[in-house]
Amino acid sequence: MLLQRLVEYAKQHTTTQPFHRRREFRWQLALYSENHREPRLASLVDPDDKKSRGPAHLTPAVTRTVGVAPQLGADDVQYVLGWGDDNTDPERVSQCHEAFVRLIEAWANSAADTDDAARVVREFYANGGVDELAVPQEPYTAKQGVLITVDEVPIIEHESLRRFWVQEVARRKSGGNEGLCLVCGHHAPLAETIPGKLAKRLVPGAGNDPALVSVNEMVFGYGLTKGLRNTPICFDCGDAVNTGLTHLLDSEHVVRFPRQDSAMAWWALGEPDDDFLSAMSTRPNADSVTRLISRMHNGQLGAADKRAEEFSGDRFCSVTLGGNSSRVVIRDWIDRPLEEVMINLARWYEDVLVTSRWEAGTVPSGYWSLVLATGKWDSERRTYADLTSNSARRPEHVQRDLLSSCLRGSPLPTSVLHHVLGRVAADGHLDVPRAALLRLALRRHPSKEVHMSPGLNENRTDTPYVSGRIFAHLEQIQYHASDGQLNATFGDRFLSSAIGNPTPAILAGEKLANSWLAKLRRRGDTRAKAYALGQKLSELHRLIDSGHSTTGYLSPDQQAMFLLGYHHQKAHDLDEGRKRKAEKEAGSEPETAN
Amino acid sequence: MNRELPKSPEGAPPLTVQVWGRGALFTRPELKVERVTYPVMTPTAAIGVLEAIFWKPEFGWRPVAIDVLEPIHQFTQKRNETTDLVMLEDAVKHETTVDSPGNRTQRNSICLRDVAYRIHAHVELREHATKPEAAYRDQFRRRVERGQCFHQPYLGTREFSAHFGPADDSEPQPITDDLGIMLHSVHYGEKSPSFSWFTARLESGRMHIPRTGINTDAPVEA
Repeated sequence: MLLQRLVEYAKQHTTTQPFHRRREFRWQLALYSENHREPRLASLVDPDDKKSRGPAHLTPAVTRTVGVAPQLGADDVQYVLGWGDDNTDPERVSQCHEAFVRLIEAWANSAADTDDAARVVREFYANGGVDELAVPQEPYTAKQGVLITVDEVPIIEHESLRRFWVQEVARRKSGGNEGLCLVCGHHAPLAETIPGKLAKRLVPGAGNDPALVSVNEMVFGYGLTKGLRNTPICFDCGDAVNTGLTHLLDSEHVVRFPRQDSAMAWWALGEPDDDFLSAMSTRPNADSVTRLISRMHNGQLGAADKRAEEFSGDRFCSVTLGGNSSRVVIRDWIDRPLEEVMINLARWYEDVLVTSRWEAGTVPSGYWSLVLATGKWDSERRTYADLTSNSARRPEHVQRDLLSSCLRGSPLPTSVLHHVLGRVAADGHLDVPRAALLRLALRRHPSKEVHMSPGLNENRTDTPYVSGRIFAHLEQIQYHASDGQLNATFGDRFLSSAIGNPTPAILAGEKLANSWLAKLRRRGDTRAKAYALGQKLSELHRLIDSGHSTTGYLSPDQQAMFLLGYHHQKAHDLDEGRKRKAEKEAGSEPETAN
Repeated sequence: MNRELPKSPEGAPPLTVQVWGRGALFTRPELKVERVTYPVMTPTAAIGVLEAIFWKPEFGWRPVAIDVLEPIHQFTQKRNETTDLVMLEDAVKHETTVDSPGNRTQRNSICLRDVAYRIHAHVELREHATKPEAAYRDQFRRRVERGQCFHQPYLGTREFSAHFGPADDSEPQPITDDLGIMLHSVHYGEKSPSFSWFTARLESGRMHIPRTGINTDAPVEA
């Protein structure tokens, strides 16, 4: 159904001319209908802008592999002008130019009576106009684009040229067969090969401009055949598939992060609401997420999901694709009722809710921040390594792992949990997105059900979680004992090793805590605090189930619990501190006023 | 539930067999290089399973419906394959050597995980059949009961071998979905093979298969 959906999308959302593609042009071959104005070759690039590749135009384009195959009305320097460079074979350049001129003549002959521009272009080539052109001072290469204009209007915009181009593509790409099209189900002229490709920049991992449907080796085809002989697809559908997919991959409905092996494009049939659109964003609005979750809890989404299962025209489609040399690899394809995907999104955002150290309550993590948090933490700059960074050590498939789990509501691959644990241990850094990933991995465990609250659960007694809380509390005692004047905290020293086995770190912390508490007790103003902190430490120890008190080496799930216990306790302590400060300020306000 | 399925010319209900496996790949013809599977077993794959269990030149199999008994889950795999395939006549003449490393190509596949299907099919006698239809049906049932097969059945591709057994009364999955145009059958003639197709739809977990497909070369009636 992927191709059918893409064709439907193309028909509804695109107005692109058939067999056209957007391309940048470096040069303009300007011709004029008035005889006194000389043809000239002008640069379309601003000399001060070194990154510019020239303005983009929608131009006739059809798949060109190794053979000589001119595009009509605008093409490479070697085709339009017959000029080569150091990397081209002069004989081939000559063939390209001759083929281009023949194609222009064929169009001009079909349209010279009605289209004055066609006559001007034909006469230019027939009168040896290229030989009389002044070679530009700026350097050129054989594969830079040249746009032909007549009286400053590109000839590719002429209706006669567009009509002729459709006939030309049908002549080139058709095997002369008609039959049932697999996509539209109608009897129509069938394509021998798909008449177009996607731009390389749109498909991560593509070595060349890739094609979605391509049978270019004997072993790929049924009965050892090349081409689409046994995969009947008509011209219109073949073109619409490319147009639709190009439009999607170039739209705002695409998730494509640098250094990932795939891009995900999505679209909806029907009318998705604003909450859904925001939730699909890589940086969602927190209010929309909250509304989506509350709609799930009050049963609105569940009821809609049941209705959608019976019958609903509103659907969500997404395709995740990557490149394999010049072929497109479909990595995932989802075509489900829209309401079902909305429920999956609401569950996802609920699973990634965690408490923050910097604000009260729970906060959702957007997709962008989750992917970013799988990379290396730069402790000097206090930020994650950029998504484009070579040394960030992000798995190249983490984007699609997360997306697939989100949209399908499926378990998270265990590799994500292992990676995040490794990164926390290596960086010694745990924040909201990483805690969210850990909680997500537990909530979406592939083989067992793990309950994990978004914030501190004071009744939880399993040893890894309480050990994490104790670790955080030891850090808290040290902080108070030193008045926050620390070069390296207890956590800085021990967190990495404690993730795998917290027992040695906690034993070391207990000894240190005696000194820290003694220091606090010696000072009159902190004696009460020392008592409270000591009491709290004893309470935490009492929470641990005496039958399973020793931790030893922790499994990955237990490591995640340890880190979440640590994160929850720290967030809770800071929240309590904020509350105390607010109460204090509220209590002192009347006195200040008096 | 089987009452709604078409009966044989003798008035018999279709034979049923249940197949299941850890994976399956029923390749879509339009996405067959970097393979993408249909979500449901195709009729040609069902015929392959039935023929693996019981085949005789005296009859052919006509599947009429396929029930989906497990939720549809996908997984992907990437494999090293080769584009260097020796033609049979060259192999006979010992004229060609195989250079797989030199012609290596990596191909991705979206496959199905943990599948189970119930195939409903009729035996269709050919002109030279010597026994009545019921005899072949009984033979098939006995073979299914004993787990006998001519070769291990597979689910779309040989990498995904299938287990089979008598059908139970488990309910199909409550899934309704359009599956697009699906291969109905392959016709081998003197020239290249031709194909017929049908518009597949999963209705409450059951895919009905029409008696004949739409031939590629014939105009389609609206």
